Amino acid sequence: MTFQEFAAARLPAVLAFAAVLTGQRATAEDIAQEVLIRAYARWDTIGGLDRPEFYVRKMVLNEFLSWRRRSWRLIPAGDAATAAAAEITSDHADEYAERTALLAEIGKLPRRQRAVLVLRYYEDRSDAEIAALLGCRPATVRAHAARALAALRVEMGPPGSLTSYRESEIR
Amino acid sequence: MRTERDLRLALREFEREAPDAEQVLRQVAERTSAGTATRGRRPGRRVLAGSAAAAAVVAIAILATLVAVRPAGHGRAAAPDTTQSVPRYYMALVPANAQLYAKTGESGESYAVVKDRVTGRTVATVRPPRPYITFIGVTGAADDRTFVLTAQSTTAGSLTQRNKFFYARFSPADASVTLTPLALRGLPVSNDYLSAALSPDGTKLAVASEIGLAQIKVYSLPGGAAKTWSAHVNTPFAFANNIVNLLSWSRTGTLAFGWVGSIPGNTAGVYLLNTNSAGGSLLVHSRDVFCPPESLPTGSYIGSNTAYLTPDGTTIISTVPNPIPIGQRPPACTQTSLPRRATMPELEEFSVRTGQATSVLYASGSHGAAASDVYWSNPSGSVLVVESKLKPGVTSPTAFGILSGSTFTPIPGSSSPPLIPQLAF
Repeated sequence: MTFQEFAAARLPAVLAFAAVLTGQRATAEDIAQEVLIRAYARWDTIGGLDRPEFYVRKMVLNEFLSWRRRSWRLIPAGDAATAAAAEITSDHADEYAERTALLAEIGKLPRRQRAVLVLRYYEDRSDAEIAALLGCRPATVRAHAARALAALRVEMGPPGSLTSYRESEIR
Repeated sequence: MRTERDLRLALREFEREAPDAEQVLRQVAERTSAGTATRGRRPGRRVLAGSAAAAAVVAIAILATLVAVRPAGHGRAAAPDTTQSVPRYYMALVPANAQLYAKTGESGESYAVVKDRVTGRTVATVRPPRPYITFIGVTGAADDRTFVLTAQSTTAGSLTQRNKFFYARFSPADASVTLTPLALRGLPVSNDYLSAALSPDGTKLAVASEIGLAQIKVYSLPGGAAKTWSAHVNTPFAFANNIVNLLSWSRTGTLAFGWVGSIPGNTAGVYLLNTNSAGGSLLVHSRDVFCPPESLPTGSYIGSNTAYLTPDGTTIISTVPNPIPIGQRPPACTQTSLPRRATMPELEEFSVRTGQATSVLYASGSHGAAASDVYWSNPSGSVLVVESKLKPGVTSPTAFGILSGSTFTPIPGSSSPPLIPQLAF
């Protein structure tokens, strides 16, 4: 896959992933820029992978997790997450209030916890996959998820309530 | 206490913060050409050539990708702001024999695809699992990841066909769809089945069926507990003839359905069913909002009869041959048909509370195109996904697109391959 093909087909999804991870357009842009510059420079290698997008997403994830360690990129003081959430509007009053509160609380989570939630509930990845991406054990992933869900007061659904299988397995 | 579903929906809200691809690529190119690409990076991890000439080459190459990310025929990739609220992914049905469909309109056997509204690309394909050979319907929750597909074991028209519902969960991470058969009891068979609608939170599936007994069942998912509302009818058709917009949910659990009527008596209209009731008589537990303007007197109904309830439950969007003046109610269904203009029908909004017209959404006279079915609406009904003819005239090709105010924006890739007009956002 060429870089052009990647940009045309997969870049919007990668940018959406960056936005969900960060919750802020400006930060997502910064992270995307950094990642794309590095990815482009190494595209001979990345483009030859089975799923280049996965590799770029991993780069986005790593960039997000290491973001705060760089002083020149520190997010300005203030409730940035709340401000970002406030811009996300819905004209359904009750849901708007609840959703806004939840968005703000997600923004306050430690980055690793937030990353776990995004990978599990936005990307629909298994705990084993998340562990591989974060370089930790699945038990650690579950611990992060449990703490995050408790902080957000999210009740987990019954496990195994649906017997799912991949569409490719039943063709 | 919040649920995992609340969390999924909340995370999806952050997608609205996604930067524009073209803008990001421009910024990358500018930084590269300005030699700032390595700003802040640790020594030894510089990734770009140090020379200005090399940086310029990289910048030019990245700028070249801008062509790739722009939709065809558009100067810029950025869509109008109003389109941002439309879900990114949608599921649609595709006829297996596209040529036959184009020639005759007969869909025959169909499969499902997940499409990216922004890029127009098909990102996943779903074939019906055997013994089912075709999908005949699709409906979606509000998260644009959860869908329900209706599969049949034989082609339409057979009296022995079996219907089966499948949860279809789309994962954008690996562009896969996970199908889960739903063990629902008492499903309508053969042509008794008309339409199904998944509630916005994905926890309830409403199924309409008729032939002798008009019935709406609401199944709780995934368990399958059902409540049933029914009405005996003597007319050949009791529900409205628009299977796409036959059923629509509000977020508060109200289910709207179009009703042609029954004999004796004239009961035609758009009804709101209180699905929190225990079940029983369909019309007793429903409230008649108004008679849709395209209906004819009982027993002689024709027309598409769109009746789409907005998610906030305040507005019905209906197809009208002529706009009803704002503030007025449509004529009663006991009158004969309304005079038709030579133009295509238009869309108009009506208040659920009063039944009065509140706004004309799409006027064929001014826009030269016709909207019929409504496939998605934002909570208030100010932004819709509809199907429309691109030009005046019956032979004009149609396209699915976003209707906001007076602007219709076709969705890229929604006409190729041809999609059966059953889309779920």
